[in-house]
Amino acid sequence: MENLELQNIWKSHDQKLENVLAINKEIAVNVSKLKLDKQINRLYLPKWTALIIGIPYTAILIAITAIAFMADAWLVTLGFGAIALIMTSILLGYVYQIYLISKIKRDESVLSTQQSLSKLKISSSKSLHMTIFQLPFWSICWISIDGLYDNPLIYGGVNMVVFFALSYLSYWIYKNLNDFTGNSKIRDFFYSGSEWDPIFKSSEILEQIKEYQK
Amino acid sequence: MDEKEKTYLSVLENHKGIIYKVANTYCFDQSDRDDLIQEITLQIWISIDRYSDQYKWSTWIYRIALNTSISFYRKNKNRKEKTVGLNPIFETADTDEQNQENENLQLLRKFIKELKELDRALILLHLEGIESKEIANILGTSQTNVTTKTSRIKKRLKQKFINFKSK
Repeated sequence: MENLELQNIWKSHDQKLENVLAINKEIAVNVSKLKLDKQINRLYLPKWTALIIGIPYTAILIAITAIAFMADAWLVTLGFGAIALIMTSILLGYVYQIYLISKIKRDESVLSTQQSLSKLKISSSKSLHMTIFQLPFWSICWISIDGLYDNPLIYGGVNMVVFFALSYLSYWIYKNLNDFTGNSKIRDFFYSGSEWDPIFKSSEILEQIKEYQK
Repeated sequence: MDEKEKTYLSVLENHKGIIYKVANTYCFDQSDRDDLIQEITLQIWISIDRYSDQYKWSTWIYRIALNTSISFYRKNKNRKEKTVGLNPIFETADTDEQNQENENLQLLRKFIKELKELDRALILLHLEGIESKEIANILGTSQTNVTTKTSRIKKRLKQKFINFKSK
């Protein structure tokens, strides 16, 4: 089968298609206007909302950390400081995602747009997953220094076990949620298929794009 | 009717074949295809103000149609609930055009639909008779990549034909 044959097979449909295809102009204009408002804000709005809420929240966390530091409350400083750091990195992720959205609006080539869209999907889900790392640090914030001095073995030991258990739990959940290759029960627990599919497909598209960039 | 609407409708009228064929390449199901055509026409409406005459209209339409189609399947499966409940934008007269396809075309469509999303875009553009330089421009890759990839995909398609016919 020659190249021309494939093209001829494809083209055999063209003439018939042109003849039977009719455009409903009224519906075309109405659909665009009805769906436009939702469409324009679909990408930007959630990111800006997260930034607007996230910036003052992180500022409060940083303020608590600074106050705790000045009061020599080291464990509170460590706990809130770490949480503030995680929140800052999540906010930076949102800034990166807003940059990607603006790039999607500028770029029109298929590979570049699909790459930005895929990165956006994956980055958005990773930002969400990063919040899990706050978990162990919330256990540090409430540890009493006096309690540690009074009963270092039991009080300190129990808190240490809780901290490491929560750290491992966070890592384990994060690792499973970001498993783009295999089947993860944890991922299935947190996401229904329809929520996970777009993220999984984004990862697949990035793999395909790599093949086109070789 | 304002100037934007006139341009928009004229673009849709002149390139309805491109939009329909791209949507048809990415959607088997007719209601999904109608939804996808809605999405593509919406993207054209949103982007039309940014159209630059450095591109041909057809190049620009292909980019939008392909980008929307590749992204379409990644959306929430509940999208049907969100779809505006109107009649399809494109109608295929009184004839069921699918029934008119000959066997080879049906096979070709089937084999194309088995390809990966980006390979599907590439072969669609090739079969439409677009030159490799313009395909590279639409996809955003090098001409060499287009030539190499096209050759490999055609080989795969031909093999699928041979395998099918020999059964």
